[in-house]
Amino acid sequence: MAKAKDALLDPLFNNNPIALQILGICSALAVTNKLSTALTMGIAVTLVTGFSSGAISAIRKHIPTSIRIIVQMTIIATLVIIIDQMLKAYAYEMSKALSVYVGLIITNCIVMGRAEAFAMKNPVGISFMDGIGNGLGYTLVLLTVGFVRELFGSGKLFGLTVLNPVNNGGWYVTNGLMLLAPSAFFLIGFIIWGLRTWKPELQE
Amino acid sequence: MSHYFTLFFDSVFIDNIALTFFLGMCTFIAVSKKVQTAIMLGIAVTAVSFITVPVNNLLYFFLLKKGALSWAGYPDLDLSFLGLICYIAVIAAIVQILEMALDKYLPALYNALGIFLPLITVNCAILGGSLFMVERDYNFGESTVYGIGVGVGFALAIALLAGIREKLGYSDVPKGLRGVGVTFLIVGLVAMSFKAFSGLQF
Amino acid sequence: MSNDSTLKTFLVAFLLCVVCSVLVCLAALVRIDREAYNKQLEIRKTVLAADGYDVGKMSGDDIDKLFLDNMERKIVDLETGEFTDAVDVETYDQRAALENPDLTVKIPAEANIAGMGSRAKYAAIYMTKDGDVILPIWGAGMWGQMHGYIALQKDGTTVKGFTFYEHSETPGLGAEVDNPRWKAQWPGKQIYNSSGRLAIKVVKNGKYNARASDANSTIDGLAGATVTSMHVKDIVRYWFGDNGYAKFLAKLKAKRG
Repeated sequence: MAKAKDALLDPLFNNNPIALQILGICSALAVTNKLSTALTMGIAVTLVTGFSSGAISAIRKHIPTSIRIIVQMTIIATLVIIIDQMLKAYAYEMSKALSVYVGLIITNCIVMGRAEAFAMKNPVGISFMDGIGNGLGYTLVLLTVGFVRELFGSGKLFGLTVLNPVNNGGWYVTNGLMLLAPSAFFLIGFIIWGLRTWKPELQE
Repeated sequence: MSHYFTLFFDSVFIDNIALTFFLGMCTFIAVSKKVQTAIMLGIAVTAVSFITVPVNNLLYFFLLKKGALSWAGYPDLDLSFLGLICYIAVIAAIVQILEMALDKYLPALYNALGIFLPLITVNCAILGGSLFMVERDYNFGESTVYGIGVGVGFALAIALLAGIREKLGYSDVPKGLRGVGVTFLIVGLVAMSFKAFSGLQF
Repeated sequence: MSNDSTLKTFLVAFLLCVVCSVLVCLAALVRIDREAYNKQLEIRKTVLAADGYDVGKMSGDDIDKLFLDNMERKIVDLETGEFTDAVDVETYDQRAALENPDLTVKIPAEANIAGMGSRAKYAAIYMTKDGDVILPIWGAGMWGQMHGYIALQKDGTTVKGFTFYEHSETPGLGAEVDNPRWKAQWPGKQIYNSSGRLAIKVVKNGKYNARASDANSTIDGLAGATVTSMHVKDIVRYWFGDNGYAKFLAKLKAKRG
């Protein structure tokens, strides 16, 4: 049970996929200007990583080496398409906001990375936990970046006005940079700096 | 003809897949330590993109989009939801074939690229190129030009970053920022500089 | 059976394809079922909003009722500018028509300012009893296509409202096309000037001069979103040009005297 707990909690700080493994960055930049999209993306990636790692682990002993990568990709792609269709059916507005980026979860290095590095060599239960754990670590970074970007970029959190922006007749002059993707780069850079100063053993 | 030139120019500078749309970031950050390897990767990405975007265009037109299968007698079928999985399969196959071809005919290049070739399969920039092509409804000619543009744009961006990182070796970066941390800050700045191109209009 | 034997490889590949295809198709069926309703509701909301109704807090049923009470759907042949019954007025889907080569025309490169490549031959528009016309317009935006409805008053040139129901522009920047304060600029603007020429334009944010002679055809662009603003300008100017609704609106005006 200790192992499962490690698999779940390690990727939150010690081995965070975005900050330390440098995986899953593309989507972290594009969808973090609003907390609602960041959260939806985080949940989607967590589910895909968990279930794909679980599924791949379940059949790991039967996958021929010559088609290994494409088998993994097929399983991952299937899960992503299912999530994409469910979003379109039940959360129409959200699916439009996420558009191209849901499809790109297939190439999200976290999912492939964990499948190859962990699920191929470990039993189903713990692979699933590892997948969920990495997904949560990813979501944590996404929410942090999203929090800063939405708050300072549009004065809102989850769409609720906190700092009333000038656009809506308020006082807060929104920080335009926060709405552009380069700000996500800066924020992730600072998160990495903070993380590695807190845990010096993670420095390069 | 000028239409194609504009499309190419747009996809390299104004719509740069790495610095405007932020796709392909993982490889972008991981492989930009030396200019030489960066350029190699750029060439490989361009080769893959140049082949996969037009091939996926044909696939979309003749197989997947609504009404595409009218030549086979199924005019009402809309298989576009299978798009993602098909494009990825095409990309994986092309990368595999390219790998085998390079190994046979250009072994020096094959050895130099090493692990980066299979990594291109999961490069979001390549899949993103195909997805944008579908979204913007390009024809075959436009897809080919766009495919080259995506690759060249990516190559340009990664070579740029590698150049900066090489120079950075002489700087005294704080311990917590060394390596990946400062790279993120640099990419942010380079991305901001590319924003200047968005004002360009032909 | 060894994992790497040819038979096993084919077997695994085949089984995987079958299982995955079934799952994906099931998911697609669920989505298709819900999608038709979602899309129709959204269009109805947009058409009503463009014509000035406050639909923000209304329920689906209320929107349906308001829509059916007030809006009449008509098909326009963009080539001739006349109403037509070449396609069924209730079921014709302008966006789906783009997939059918018989129902589309290619837009020549010089005229293709809105980046669409081709357009449908017929447009499904809405008219109210007061003579308002609500027209679907769309084109390329920065990150994806932008689709919306623009409502004109009886005179066929004064804007009543303009709402996008679909776009992928950057939240906080290009997506401010949805901001009510930006949208509030449109009512009252003139699409065509007094000589009947296409006059409407969007200028870079801050360049709007309320005292200019053509101020009533000028919209101030979005702050920090010049690319999106220029796309909006191109979309509007395409659809109100000769390749879009210009012929139809001219004929409508002539008929009304």
